[in-house]
Amino acid sequence: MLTKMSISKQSRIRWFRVSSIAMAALALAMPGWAQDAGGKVELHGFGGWAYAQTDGNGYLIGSEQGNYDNLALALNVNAMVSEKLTIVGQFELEQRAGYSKEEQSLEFAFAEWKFTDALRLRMGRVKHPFGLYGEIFNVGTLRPFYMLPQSIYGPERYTGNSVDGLSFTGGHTLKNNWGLSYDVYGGRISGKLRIIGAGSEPADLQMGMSESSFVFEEVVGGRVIIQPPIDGLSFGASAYRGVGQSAVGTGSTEKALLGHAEYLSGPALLRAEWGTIYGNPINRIEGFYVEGAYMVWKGLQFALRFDGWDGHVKDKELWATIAPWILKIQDSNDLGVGVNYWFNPGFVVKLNFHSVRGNRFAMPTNTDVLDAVPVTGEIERDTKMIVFGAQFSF
Amino acid sequence: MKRGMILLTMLGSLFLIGAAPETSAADFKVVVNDANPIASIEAANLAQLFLKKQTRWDDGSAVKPVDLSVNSSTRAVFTKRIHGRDVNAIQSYWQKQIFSGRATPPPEMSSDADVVAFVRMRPGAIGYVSSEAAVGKGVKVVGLSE
Repeated sequence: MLTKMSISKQSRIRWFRVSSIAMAALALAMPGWAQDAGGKVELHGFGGWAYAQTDGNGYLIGSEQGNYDNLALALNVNAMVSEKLTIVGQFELEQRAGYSKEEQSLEFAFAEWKFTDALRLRMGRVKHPFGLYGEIFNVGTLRPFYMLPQSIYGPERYTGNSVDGLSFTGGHTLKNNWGLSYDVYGGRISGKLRIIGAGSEPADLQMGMSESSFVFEEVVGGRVIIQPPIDGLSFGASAYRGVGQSAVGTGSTEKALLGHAEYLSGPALLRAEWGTIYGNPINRIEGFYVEGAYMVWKGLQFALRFDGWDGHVKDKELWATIAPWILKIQDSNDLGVGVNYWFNPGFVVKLNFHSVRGNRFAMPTNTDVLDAVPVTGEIERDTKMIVFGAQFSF
Repeated sequence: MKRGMILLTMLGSLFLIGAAPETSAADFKVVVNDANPIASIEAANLAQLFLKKQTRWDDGSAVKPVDLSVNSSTRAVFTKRIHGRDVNAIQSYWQKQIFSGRATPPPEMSSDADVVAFVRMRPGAIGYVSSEAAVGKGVKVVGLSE
């Protein structure tokens, strides 16, 4: 009881602290925001809420009993100190279903010096420029489904929450209206990993899994995006290498590769990405998704997505002997269907249905059942989830 | 794999449903500060300026684009012609730029007169107004080429 009370008190203190910082940022930003349309300082934000229910296993934000407590709010402050120097920061608060603690994170905070449009130097913490969604991880108004495709952006090790270090970015218009943009970065990537049995505290259990952190040190990576002279079409590649520090491999050099394509044109959008990450002692991972959406009438949008993930275990015989259930969580695919209504580009209500096969991201939430998994290896493979929520940005 | 094939077929069908509606509204003219030496500008170049992919004029000074508000019919026409997309798509583009910490959108003005006043006060400014709008001293209309 004492522990619970102290956790609750700590939580309130943390919220107070975070709210104070957020309000201070707001107060700092407002005068400049309102004062000059040229905009020396601008404040933006995004967030969302969702209810999610499954037919059994826990999956991402949903459980069998249904969860109302999926909430997020982020504030973004952009200060143009001079024509060449910009300071940018983004702070996020998140309450996730099944998780006892609210999370606060400094998503990014960096200074950018613009030498030219083709060469900008960034120092500090930037969002991970990896694939189509790596930098806009939690911005729900930039995607057709409430949740991101888990094959690439799920609680695996593909995409870090951020990169701490140094990066260069820029863009250039080529001949015949082709365009090219790039990012090159070095430093440290950090993010979240969810696996079975990694946590020791029941409070760490989230939708049947435990969450731990991963870090890649000595990271070198980059992304290239090419825009052909066809409105809305782009394709590119992302890659990085780094020395992993996580529950699935410490000290091993891991490499990630990702190819991506996007077509955004009027009422239609189509995105596809394929990636692999390898080098850790347990498995090589492959992920692929394709998603499309069409605005059929005013703000009414239909969306479809296939999202597949595969883990290729290196030494199956060894794992079959010491932990056979590991072999049962090496695949996952999610067929998603969505009906959304966009009041405007900054506010959308989403109704999504997911049919999931495999257990990489779907697990029993009952701790008794979960405890039995390593012994019996028995897990329900099929999971259905319905998500109803709203997401906004300003 | 079978589920994936089904989805790809469904996605293909989705894209055959229909084409984007044509926009029809008043035309626009592009305006810059009188001090700006340009007499005309290419549509592709104009798009780069308004998406802040090019932020410098040829003389090295800063480009200061200014938009009309999202409800403006002139903006709808300008956006469709210059960017080849609708206003919502451009708003999504700016969301992506903002929340990845890359750039913020041009300021938005509620009327042609406000755009003209903004351009008049800033040598590097560029904007667009409806074809009937008066521009007055300190601001000039530049030609638009494809």
